[in-house]
Parts: sequence; structure tokens; C-alpha cells
Amino acid sequence: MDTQIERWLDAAIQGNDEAYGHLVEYYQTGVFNLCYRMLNNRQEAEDAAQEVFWRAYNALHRYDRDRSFQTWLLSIASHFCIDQQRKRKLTLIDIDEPFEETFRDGNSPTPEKTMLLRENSTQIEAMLETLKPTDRAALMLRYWYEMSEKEIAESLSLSVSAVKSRLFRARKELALAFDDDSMESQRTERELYEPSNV
Amino acid sequence: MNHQMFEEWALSPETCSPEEREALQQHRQQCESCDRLARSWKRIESVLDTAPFARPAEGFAQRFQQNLAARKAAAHKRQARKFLLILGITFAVSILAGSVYFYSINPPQFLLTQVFRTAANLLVTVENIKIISSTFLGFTPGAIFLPILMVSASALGGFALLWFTAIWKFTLHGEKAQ
Repeated sequence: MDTQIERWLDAAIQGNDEAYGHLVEYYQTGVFNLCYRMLNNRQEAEDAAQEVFWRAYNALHRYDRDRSFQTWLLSIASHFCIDQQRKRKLTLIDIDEPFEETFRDGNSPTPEKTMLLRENSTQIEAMLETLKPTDRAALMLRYWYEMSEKEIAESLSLSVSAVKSRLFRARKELALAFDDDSMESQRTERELYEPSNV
Repeated sequence: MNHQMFEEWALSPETCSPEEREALQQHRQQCESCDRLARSWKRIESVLDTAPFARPAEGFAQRFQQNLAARKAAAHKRQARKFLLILGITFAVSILAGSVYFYSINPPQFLLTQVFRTAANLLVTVENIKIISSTFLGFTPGAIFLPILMVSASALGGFALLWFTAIWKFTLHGEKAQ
């Protein structure tokens, strides 16, 4: 871990709120992104991320320094969002609202590529909605945060074998749904553009 | 044919050995469903791999600091209320228990006598204090009266401050556990 973060962490554990503020600033995007991808709504994601940082603040004395702070925060966020999803059973997807995004490689793609990415991403977000909250969280942690199966297991309080089977199930469900969806859209396009034989 | 194994390989190609990858390729040429699954997953994976991070609106950390202050104040208030409630209940229960015990071991006529005797003693004490005070004030010069009043007021104020600080400090202990 970065020495500056270590210093903030030490100070925050000693009760320094300003140091904890720096940690919030540093980890806000990671936590917010997980909440947003899990809840699919910006306002709810903001509230959830605020709640996650508050819970972490109250549990700082229980934080195990051998674990990564980010993994610990994401673990709190995952559990919170899974509970929220179970409570609310969200069905709507917030796709009209524009929002700021950060590309992981730091390079902005071309407008055409962005358009294509957005289309695919919207389609996949809709499919992610159909997954069980825990399967979805496992998939998020695997792809957005590049966590190992062991780290995911620790974050979600599951066994490694349970994570493996959940990841397999989630991947299969997504692949099957994406396949059906693609076939359906191709069929619709054909019906729209090809002249009728009647 | 065991499709489960090929599906697992198709859905997590990064974990496959070169031999397993080769076997999967051969299987995909014969099995349309596994081939479609693998192609479909590849597309999803590429979207997931390039999916951007959603960022919170500007000022997230500042909003957190404000929320933190508000939540801490609320937690403090809750703790103070809880402490005073416990104190009140303990006092009330002690009074009740004491009364029940007192009434259970003494006959009513004795209690009545005790009440009147205590009231009379109280009145006598108040009268005595009045006499002592007026005698004392009669002998002391007027200039000393003000310092005495100030010292008494300061002492009382100090005790009150000490009491409130003690309650305040005590309630802060529970704040983090909320």
C-alpha cells in the first residue's frame, strides 16, 4: 500500500477525521462505481457510497491491517448493495442520465467506439440486472476490480468453491442471455429491412 | 458427451492449459451450442474488460464530511438521551424499591408520625438557617457581602460545569459504536 495512504490510515484509526476525509477522496470512485453497477441508479449509488464510508468509519478499529483497505471497503460496499438489492428488487435501469466515466487505460476511445461500447454496455447492464445480487457482485469484483477468486471469497464471505460456481453460473447466464438478445435483435433488424414475401 | 467441462473452459479461457484450449477448439467445431456460448462470452468479456468506472458527482468527499458531522452530532445526542434515560430509570426504580421496602417493614401510624416529624424538623432547620444568616450579616461589614456572593456563585457554577462535562465525556464513549 502507498505510504501516504498508510499514514492517512494510521491517523484515521487514531481518530483524525481529516485523514479519513483524504481516504474517502482517494477511494470514492472505486466504492461509488461498485454501488452504481450494483444498484443502477446514481442517487441510490451516492447514498450507498456515503453509507459505506460511514460504516467503514465506525468499524475502523476492527480493520485488519493485513488486508488491503480497498478490498475491505469493497467488501462492505458489496454486502450493503446486496442487502439493498434484496430489499428494493430494482427493475428500472437508469440509462438516460449522462454521467462521467473514467476509462481504465486512461485513453478515451473514438466516438464510434464509445457509441458501440455504450450500446453493448447498456445491453449487458440490463442483463446484469437479471443476475442474483451475490453473483452480480462476484462478477463486478472479478472484472472491474480484477480481484482473485480468493479475494472475492473474502469480500463476500463465501468459500472459494462457492465463488467459482457463482462466477460460472453468472457467466453462463449472461452468455446465454446475450446470445438470445443478439439473435432477437438480428431477427428484428431483418424483419425491418427485408421486404416481406407476402 | 460432457458439455459441462467444455462450458467451463469456454467461460473461463484464462484458466485453460494449452491442451485444454486445443480440446475446446476441436469441440467447438462439432458442437454449435458450446461454440455460441464461447463466442457470446467473448463479446461480453470484452465489454466488461473495457467498461468504464462510474464517478460520483463533484464534492463527494465534502458531502461525506458534512454527513459525518451531522451523524456524529445525532449519535452524540442519542447517546446523551440514552444516558439520561438510564439515569432517570435507575433513580425512579431506587426510589420505588426503597419506598416499597420502607412501607413493608413499618406500620401506617408510624409512617404518618415520621412524615409530620420530618416536616417539623425541616421547618425548624429553615428557621435556624434564617436566624444564623441574619446574625452573620448583621455583624459583617457590607463590603464583604459581595465577595461572599461571588465565591458562592462561582463554586455552584463550577460544580454545574463539572457535572455537565462529565455527562458530555461519558456520552462521547458510545458515539463510535453507533
